[in-house]
Amino acid sequence: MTERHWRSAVWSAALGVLLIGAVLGWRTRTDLRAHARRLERKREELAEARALYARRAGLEAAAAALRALPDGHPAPLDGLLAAPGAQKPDDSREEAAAAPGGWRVWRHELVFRDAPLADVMDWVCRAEAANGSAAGRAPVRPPWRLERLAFTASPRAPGRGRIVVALEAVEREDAR
Amino acid sequence: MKTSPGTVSWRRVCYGVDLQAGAPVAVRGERAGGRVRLKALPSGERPPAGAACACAVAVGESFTRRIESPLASARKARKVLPTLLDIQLPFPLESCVTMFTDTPESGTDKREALAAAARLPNARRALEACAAQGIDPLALDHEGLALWTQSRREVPAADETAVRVVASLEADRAALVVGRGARYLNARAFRPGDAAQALRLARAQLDQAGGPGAVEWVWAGSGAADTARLAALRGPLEAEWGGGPSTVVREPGAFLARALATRALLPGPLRCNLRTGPLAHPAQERRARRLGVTAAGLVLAAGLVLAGSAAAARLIAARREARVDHVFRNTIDAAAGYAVSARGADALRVARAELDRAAAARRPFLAAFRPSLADTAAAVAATAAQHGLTIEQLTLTRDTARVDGTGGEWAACEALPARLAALGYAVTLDRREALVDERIPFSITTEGGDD
Repeated sequence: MTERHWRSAVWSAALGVLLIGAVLGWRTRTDLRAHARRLERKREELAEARALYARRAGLEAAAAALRALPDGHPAPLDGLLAAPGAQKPDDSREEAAAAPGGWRVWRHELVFRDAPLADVMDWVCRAEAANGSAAGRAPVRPPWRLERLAFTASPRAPGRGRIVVALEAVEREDAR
Repeated sequence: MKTSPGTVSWRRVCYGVDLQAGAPVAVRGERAGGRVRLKALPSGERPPAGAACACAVAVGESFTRRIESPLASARKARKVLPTLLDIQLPFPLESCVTMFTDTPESGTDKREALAAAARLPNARRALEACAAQGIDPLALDHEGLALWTQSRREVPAADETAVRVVASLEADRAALVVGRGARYLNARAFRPGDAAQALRLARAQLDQAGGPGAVEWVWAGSGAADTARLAALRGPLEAEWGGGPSTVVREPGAFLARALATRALLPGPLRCNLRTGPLAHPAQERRARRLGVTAAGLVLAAGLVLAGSAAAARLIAARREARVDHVFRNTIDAAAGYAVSARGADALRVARAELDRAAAARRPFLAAFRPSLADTAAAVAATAAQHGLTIEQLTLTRDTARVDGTGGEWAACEALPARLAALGYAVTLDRREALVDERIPFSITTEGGDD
């Protein structure tokens, strides 16, 4: 190979590599723009996935907190209704349904045909607070929770009427 | 350092050597800070072996021609100059070594260049004379151009429009170099000591310079130091074209050697090296080859850098995306509670549905830790009492609300929906015509709900 051929070969190779580099650089520039858009979308999806995970963590934390209670069943409603000053319901209905993880959900619906709303709500508040907690102490049993309130006012006396309250509580199945 | 064709500017030290009848006169030139420091070597001393040297082809062994190209572009003009010179010569251009000096912008649509050339046998003879003295010059300059530019450097012009004649008187040769202002015109050799020939040549050259007028005389060469020899020539020439300044340069015997060293090291006008083509110096060829390889290497490196950075950018981007994908998969699996096979938006849909199912099944668990619905009922009752509203019917759950009642004023009815909205219910208010007791009946319901 003569020197001229050798020089020409070196230059051809150098220019070829430069051309390849330039084409690659240009294509990369275009591809990186598309990549940036795709990455932005994926980051948005990741943010949404993290929000879902936080929701799942909230559910797990609630279940774990209830599981950690020393007493697995809520305060007996009969006892609460028998307390002094408590309004007696005219009708009541209870039902239980299985929940995931070895739990049962109790639902009590109490009907007061003509009772003062304030008294019934006071009793509801006491029932909700009857979870074994006291000043400075953590709850020891699952609480009752008011899930539905229906009030129809009596035309004769203000603040009185027909009241329906639905209370719910969870119970560990092994607690009974 | 600005490079200039014809110089050996990549060397810092160069010796200018004037072979005067076999007795070389050498001047050491060293470039420093854009200037050249010159130092004459003792008489008869030769430059050290391997040192860069610049010699000259005598005026009588070479020639110069002004070429006018009809092309305004310097690049294009440079391509046609050899052809235009070839037409002017009585012998083939291939039998010469040639160099074209710069083609400055003339302001017209033409370009002018000065060609300096020597026939190959003459140039070879000059190189052989150098070789006989143990010198292999890196540059072979044109004596006439060297004398002209050095005279401009050492003897500033009194009048830039005046004609200048540089007379070089050596033991074995003599020459007259003519120019006007900064413009070199021509150079002619004459027999040393032949005043009549010098006079004839001067007439012809000065006619070409555009008439006599004031003439500046510059005397150089070893003969200029010889008072009798100088007077023999100076007398008749200055008698005919006297009146202008006449200067004998300092150390006239080393004038050409100074010129050669200066021109080899510094860029400037009319630089010339006739060691081209078949006479090219091996060192220059090696340098040209090295420059070519370096340039190719730089191009290759630039290509590799471009390709490498593109590949690196792609790799970084891919790794970043893979990291986000990995975190997303882990998060979505944890949110759904099992390994979700779908990806992207589909995976989100699957996880959301699964989470909705789980949340519905565990609603009572969450309710145990949420604010009591009794608080909401108390807030509704307090707001109603505060704005004089009578509630006839109230139904509340955690997600829905319905209130029917009456209010004393139209605007007062708005307090209750505002309070419910603040508690997180999306409600609508419906007010009707006042009743007989002038109270305004209203109804508040959850949007989309019928509770």
